[in-house]
Amino acid sequence: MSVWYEGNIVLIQTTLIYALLSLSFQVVLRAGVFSLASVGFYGLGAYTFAMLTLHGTNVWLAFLAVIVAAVVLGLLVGMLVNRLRGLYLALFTVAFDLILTVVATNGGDLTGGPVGLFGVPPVLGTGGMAVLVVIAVLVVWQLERHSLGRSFEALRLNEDMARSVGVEVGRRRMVVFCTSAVLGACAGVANISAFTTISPQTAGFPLVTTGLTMAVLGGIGRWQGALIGAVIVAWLPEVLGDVGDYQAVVNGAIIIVLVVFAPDGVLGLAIRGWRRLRRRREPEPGPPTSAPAPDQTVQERV
Amino acid sequence: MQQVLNALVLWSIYVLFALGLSLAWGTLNVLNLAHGATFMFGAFSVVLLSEHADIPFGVLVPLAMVFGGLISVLLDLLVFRPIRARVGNSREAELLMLIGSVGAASIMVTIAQQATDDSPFGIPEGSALRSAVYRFGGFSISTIQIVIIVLGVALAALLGWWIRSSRYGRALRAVAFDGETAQLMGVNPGRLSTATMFAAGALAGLASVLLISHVGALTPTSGDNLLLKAFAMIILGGIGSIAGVLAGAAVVAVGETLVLTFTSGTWVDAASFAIIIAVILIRPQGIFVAQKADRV
Repeated sequence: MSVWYEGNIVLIQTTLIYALLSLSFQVVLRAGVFSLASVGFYGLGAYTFAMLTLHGTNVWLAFLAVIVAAVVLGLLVGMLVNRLRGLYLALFTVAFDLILTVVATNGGDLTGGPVGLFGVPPVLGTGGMAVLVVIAVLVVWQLERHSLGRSFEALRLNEDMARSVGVEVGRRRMVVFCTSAVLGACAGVANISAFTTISPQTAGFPLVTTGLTMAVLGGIGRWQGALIGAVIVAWLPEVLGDVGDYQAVVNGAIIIVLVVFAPDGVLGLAIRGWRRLRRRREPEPGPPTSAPAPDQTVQERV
Repeated sequence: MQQVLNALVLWSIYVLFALGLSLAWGTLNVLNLAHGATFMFGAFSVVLLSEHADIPFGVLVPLAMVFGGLISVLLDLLVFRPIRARVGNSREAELLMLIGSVGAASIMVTIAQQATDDSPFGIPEGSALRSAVYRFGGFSISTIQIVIIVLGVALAALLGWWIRSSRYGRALRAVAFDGETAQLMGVNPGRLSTATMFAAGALAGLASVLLISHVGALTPTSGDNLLLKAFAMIILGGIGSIAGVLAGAAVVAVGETLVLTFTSGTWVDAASFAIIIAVILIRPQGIFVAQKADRV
């Protein structure tokens, strides 16, 4: 066990970082907020943490500062984008991510320019990251439960309908946006304390596609989906080792197949498979024709 | 004057690239993130071909257009159409198509990276356009620059006419406005989306083969940068609007030239992102499109 752990420590830490980022994407997507700003907050978290600790700030104080910065910027950007929907929101948030990378590239000594910052003390360790992931899961889980969780789901499925039954759309969207911002910033802090460096390219467009892929592959309906997506994306290259150089081709093909045939992600696929299996085992309660076909909304609610 | 010419060449390339993207987005509601990879692959496939046989430049250009068009149609058949058929909720379909196109893009980019060892590729000597340079006083223009500007303007005009006046164009606008009603009126949305995607891919292929003969070489990731700039142009002009793309491309081309003259080169990319953010906040429907409540 410990030999396996030592040999795969990079992959394990990557999985934990990805899990935070994936949750950050999932929490907004689940509420129908098509925001890709998580990567921007990832960069914000990593850079803030690196700049503060490199100047001798206490690690916990730096972490606190990151959270505060993420909430403040999250509120600001959230206010700006609260009236945007769909692809407009997606594009706006991508532009937000990329403008931060340009600023970081031109930040001079403060951000280390195109090279970035390095030599940040690795404070969190695998245990610390695992604790962060557990806390993140608890938070996201609470946002999925009870009437609050259902109101987010209603926002995704039909915003006008949700508004008509009294869901405060604007405020709910701000809540998920800020949660996503903090989770993204935590992923950035986890990343820098695992690998001790941050550069503008690492928080660029490829990370946006990685994060989006993780969230959708696993299934955006539940937090378990985000974790499954993170595990798949982190470990697929290792599993596909034999395919060698054309690994990204296989990744791309898997993404396409999943998106086309399992739009609710691996988790949705598993749930549907499990239901079908159970229905086959148990005798049908009535004549087969009267059994209602489980439609999309019922599946998603359960 | 020379700067103006350079900006004009840049503008033509931007227009050719962004027109297809805007067309697919405005009419089929597809934000095709594989458009940049399609662009790159158009040039890449003719470079591969011309390494094995001496093909004249005049044949390479239509070949690149056909390759780009076919890739785009394939993407529509394998990814976008199945998703549209399976997912009823249009917002979820948008998201899934976007991610599917990311997967497709990574396939194309990886194949090109493996085949070229991730290094720039260009058209070999034998097939390249023999370019002459013409001088008028202190001002010089090369054959390829003339070709780029002429094709850029001509195709933009042709596409504009196609959308506005042809049967296809009218059917396309009808589908974009209300797909179900259009279908009741006898429009075949499948054939229409194939034609549109082919046109979009062909324009990308054309842009890439022109750009590669102008600047000499492209890299497997050349398309990605262009893709983000194209978003800025399309958002600025209004999604699906041809005149909007022309204006948007002009603003981005001039804006980048200005940023390049007044600051160090590293701020250039911020120009397009700043345009995206400013336009979405102030006038999200773009300059050339009337208010359309549905989109935002």
